[in-house]
Amino acid sequence: MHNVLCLTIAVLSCHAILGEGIARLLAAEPGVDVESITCADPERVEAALAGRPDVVVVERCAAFDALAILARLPDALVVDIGIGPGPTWAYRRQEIPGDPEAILRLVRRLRGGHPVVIPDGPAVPEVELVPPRA
Amino acid sequence: MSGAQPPRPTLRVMLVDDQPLFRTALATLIDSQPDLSVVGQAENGLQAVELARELVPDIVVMDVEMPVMDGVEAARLIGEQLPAVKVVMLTVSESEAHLFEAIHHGARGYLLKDLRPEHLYDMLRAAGRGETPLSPAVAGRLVSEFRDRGPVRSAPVSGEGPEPPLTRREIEILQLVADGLSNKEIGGRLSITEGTVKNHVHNALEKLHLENRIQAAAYVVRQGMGHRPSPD
Repeated sequence: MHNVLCLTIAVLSCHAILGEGIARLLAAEPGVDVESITCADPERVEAALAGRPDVVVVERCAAFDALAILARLPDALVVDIGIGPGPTWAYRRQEIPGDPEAILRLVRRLRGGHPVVIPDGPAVPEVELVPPRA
Repeated sequence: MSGAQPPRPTLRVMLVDDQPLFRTALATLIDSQPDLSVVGQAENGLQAVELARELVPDIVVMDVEMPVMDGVEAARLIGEQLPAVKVVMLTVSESEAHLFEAIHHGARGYLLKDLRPEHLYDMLRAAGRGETPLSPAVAGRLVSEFRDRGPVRSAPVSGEGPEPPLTRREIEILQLVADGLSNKEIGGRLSITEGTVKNHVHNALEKLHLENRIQAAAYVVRQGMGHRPSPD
């Protein structure tokens, strides 16, 4: 026997048919434990976030703010989805050394056209550089 | 209690929405029901018309606002070409223009995406039985529209003769129809079977020379028979 890590996922939505559908989809994946909660139940939302899930899938709506969730759960992967057409975003915090050299290294990587890759996480998109002013 | 009920025939459902994430979520939910099955998916109205011709589903669940061809136009074309296929709009749009256009062009129901999944299943089953599934907020707007327009075509008009005698039960059930309740919900409220509710609604429509539940709801409101809205 060996230990199986279980990933915990909270799906927060305003539209239950979106949230519960996605939760059901994710729950079919082995090794994940999914909970779906709607904004109509703020106490359960609070309890789910207090449980520090590994992943929070959150619907863009008046009740939820993906970046606020990321600030509260810095270790979580936050996936920001919408019920209508529009992008889906993944947010993950990346810690870097707190010295100017580290920031400069990142800037130089971007200037060189290299994406900043978070291990096992989403890549920061390449930056289109603004031409230098004459 | 009685023994096991015979299995319900599977309703073949086609989904049309331009948001793949929502479409997939919806398909996952609907497919979880033993009597509902998603047989196809399309991402715009044009694809929907073509796929409906090919699959001939029982129900098309369709968004309103989509690229290439919107859901209202697609509902019109499907209604013309495949009259047995029931189109139910499922949208975030509470726009009255969308609602009235969709119903006018043949949509058999209009649901908002804020439904709970179990309500959605019930609404789809109701559509399969030939009922008109409407979200409560939408039902209220339709009733207001009919009330503002005045007498409904074919309905008895004051001065043309006595009103048909509705039974007390029929009046009670029509009042609940005007509140936006489905037959199943009415049955639950009055502790009678859904089939009995259906019979009462059918008889009341016959007596009043009305064609559908929406007209019946409008009749109730026009006659001042409706329940008063709650203060909130």
